[in-house]
Amino acid sequence: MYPLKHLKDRKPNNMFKKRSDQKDEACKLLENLDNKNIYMDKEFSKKLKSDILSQYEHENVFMYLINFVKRSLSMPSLKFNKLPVISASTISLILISFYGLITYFVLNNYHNNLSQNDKNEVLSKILQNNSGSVLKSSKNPSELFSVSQAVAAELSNGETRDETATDASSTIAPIYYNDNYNFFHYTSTYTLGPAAASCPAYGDSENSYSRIETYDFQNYSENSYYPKYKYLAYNNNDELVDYSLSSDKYRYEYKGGTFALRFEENYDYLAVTPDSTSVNTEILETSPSSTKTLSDTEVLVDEAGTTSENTGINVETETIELIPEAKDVIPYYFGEDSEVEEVTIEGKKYYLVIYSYDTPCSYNEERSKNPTISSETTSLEAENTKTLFFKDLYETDTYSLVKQEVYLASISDNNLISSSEYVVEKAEKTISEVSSLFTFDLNVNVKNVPTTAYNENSYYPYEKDVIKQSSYLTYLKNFLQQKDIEIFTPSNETYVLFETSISDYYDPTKPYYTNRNFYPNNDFGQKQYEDYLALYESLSYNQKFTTTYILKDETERSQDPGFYQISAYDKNLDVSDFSEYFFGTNQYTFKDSISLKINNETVSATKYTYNYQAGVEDFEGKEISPDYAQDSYNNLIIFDYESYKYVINIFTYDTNASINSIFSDLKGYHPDNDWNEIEAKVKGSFSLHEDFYGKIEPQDIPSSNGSGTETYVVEPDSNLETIEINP
Amino acid sequence: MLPPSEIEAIYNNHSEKLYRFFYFKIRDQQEAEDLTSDTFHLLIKKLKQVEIENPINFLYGIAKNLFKVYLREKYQIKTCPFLEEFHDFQKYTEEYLEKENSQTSEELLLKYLPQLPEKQKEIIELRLIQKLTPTEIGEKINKDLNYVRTTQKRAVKNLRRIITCTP
Repeated sequence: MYPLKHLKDRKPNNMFKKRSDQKDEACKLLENLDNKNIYMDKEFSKKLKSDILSQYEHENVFMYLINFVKRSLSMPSLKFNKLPVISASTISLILISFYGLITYFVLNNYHNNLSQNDKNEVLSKILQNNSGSVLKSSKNPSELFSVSQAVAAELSNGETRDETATDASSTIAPIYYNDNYNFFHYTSTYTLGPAAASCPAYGDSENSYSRIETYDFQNYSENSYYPKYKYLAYNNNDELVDYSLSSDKYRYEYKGGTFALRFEENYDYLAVTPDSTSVNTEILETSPSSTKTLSDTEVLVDEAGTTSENTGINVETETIELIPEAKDVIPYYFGEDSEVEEVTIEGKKYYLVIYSYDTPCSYNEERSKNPTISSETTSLEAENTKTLFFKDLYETDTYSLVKQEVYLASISDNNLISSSEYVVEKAEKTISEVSSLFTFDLNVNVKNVPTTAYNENSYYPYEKDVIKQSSYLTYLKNFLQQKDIEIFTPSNETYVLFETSISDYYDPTKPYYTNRNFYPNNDFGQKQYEDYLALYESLSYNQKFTTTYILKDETERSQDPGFYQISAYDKNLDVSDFSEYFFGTNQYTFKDSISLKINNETVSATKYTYNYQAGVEDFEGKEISPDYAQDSYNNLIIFDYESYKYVINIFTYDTNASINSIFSDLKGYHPDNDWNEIEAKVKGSFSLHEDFYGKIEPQDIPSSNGSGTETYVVEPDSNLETIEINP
Repeated sequence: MLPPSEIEAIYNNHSEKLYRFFYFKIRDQQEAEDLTSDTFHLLIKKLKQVEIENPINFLYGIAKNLFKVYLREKYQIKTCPFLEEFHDFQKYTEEYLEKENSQTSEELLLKYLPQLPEKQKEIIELRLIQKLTPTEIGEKINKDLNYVRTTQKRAVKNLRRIITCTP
């Protein structure tokens, strides 16, 4: 099942380059335009030729023998004397069989393919004997896939796995409990391959680490489960440039600068006694909705109610204990079509496991740094999704991972993104034996990151709750006044306000992550700092407020069920970023300068149109019949007005659709002067919402159009409070 | 069944041409080599399965199809018009190589740059024609380094896309 392989012994030619030798992409392109590499690499060409000729000659033997038999059988002179033909055929078949056997053993020298049962057994043992933090990727623990969430989700809701899940807790626990060990210490050394630049999420030369150490400890007390985890990453100069410690209620983060950060952990660990057949506690922790759909064969229900110790919140009246079989978990780590072989290298036996999955090559990194990035942006990176192949070697006696290679698109030397080697220490330890290891001991200041407060008044206002709706109106008025944001509605009142959505994020980590001193005082630190600054300058961070409109007339709505939106952004954002953000590409189809009317005044705007074939792919991304494909147009009308940049987002099947002109003539309402009108429209949206969705009981929040309020507003604590930690 | 010497002759006469076609379109040596390798491997595989009357035509047909697959996977481009226009792909390839060979990098840049959006064009002109560093560009256009890097990255990606699809 391997993809087409290229020449294997070609030496990577750009590994271990000094940074000063590395050129940026533009210079590389110029070099290539200069026809510098106009000839194939001589060595490559020579080996390709010999590879092809040898492949052809091997096949020739088969073809020769087959043709010989064919020809023999069809020769008229032999038609009535089949004996020599049969003899020739027999000899040919023997030769073919012999050739086949020889070929098989030559190609599979020292390789022993395992049966499906053996394969599952080996993979289960691997899951039991390796920490979750080393499988998949060694680079950054937050990139790791949360198997537990995915298993729980799939078993309960039939959802597919989410490669970008970044729950830090997912990296803490081992994948499967192991009765023998509760302590894992890995040291991995990491080198980049020639394809590293093609997949920065896994092989970013500017952000990669040369050595990583992880310590995992599973701390079971009688009624609780608190894992401890420590992650240390070193650069090429062996300087500590990334540090994460998760111990009891606190998590520490250090990036090599003059101070570290301390966060209060919010993980709720249910009262769980580990057992050797269950996966980690996150699987056991299921949402109320997931309990409804689990089948009897998949769950055991303990009727005793359980309350979370940490929060006092009643999580569930039933404690759900999933006991998935290993075969259910294996695909989440190794895919459906992993290959397992026993191989011998320098006299020692190993299990070689090859598996693959698709992942965005640049997106993970940003997402891992900030999970609050809207999931809508995943579409932007669709074109950046690549298939990565993992080639892992495990010891046959301990099942420990000793080496992992990651390849882009196919397994060949040229496609190697990274190679990691591991040294592992596994043991059964007591908490007192490891406590010093999981104590913060860096000699730097520690700043306490305040926990984000949650403002209930700003929450979803469409529940059937008059008090909440009234509070929301007060909150909205203050918000709009404070931010000086206007609400627009089409002058033609066929379209009316359906939802208002405040997106005023305050991220308590921002003052720290955007502090240059949090990073090392070198190029690496500068790059990290700039990456974080860029993140905070992204559109998703700078959207302030969105209004959504639908057709007023219910009958007409059946013809045009669309939602149209106007969003307010910071004025200083670059217009060119919007098309990429909304369309997933900056290759828009048309761009026009247009005029809008706002309160009968003319305002200049730019209209970007992206034309595509809607319905070419179904929801699972499979191609469907082109007969169902339809020309579709996504229009963005962008204009500056007072303090903000506004974006009108319209989707149509027709370039001349009247909807474009309707949204080109707007009325603006300022909260200082026109609050009564705004209030009436927002109240109207409450009623319209109720007509549309039916009455929404408190906490029964619809998520169908995704435009509900996502608000986390607290007063910034910019004091950068430093707390004393005694190592 | 062709004798191996004929396969060798096909390789000697066409591997560099195919490589160069891929290289001029993709402007990446390793990817061009991989596509050349794929083309020949597929030819051998097909020669094993069926009798092929004109293996050279067949070879160029494979190259064209692999290039289409590359466009789809790398840039989500279904196909470029020129790929459909030229039925004799070998002839097209040879003419294209002759034309492309004779152009300098600056000529090529000037040929492709007008197709870039304004801001990206500005950055590439400053970076590759005026040879300014990203920091100098930032100072000149009064933008921060991050803006320059991001815009340049997008511009390079778009330029590559434009190059692949220009006949």
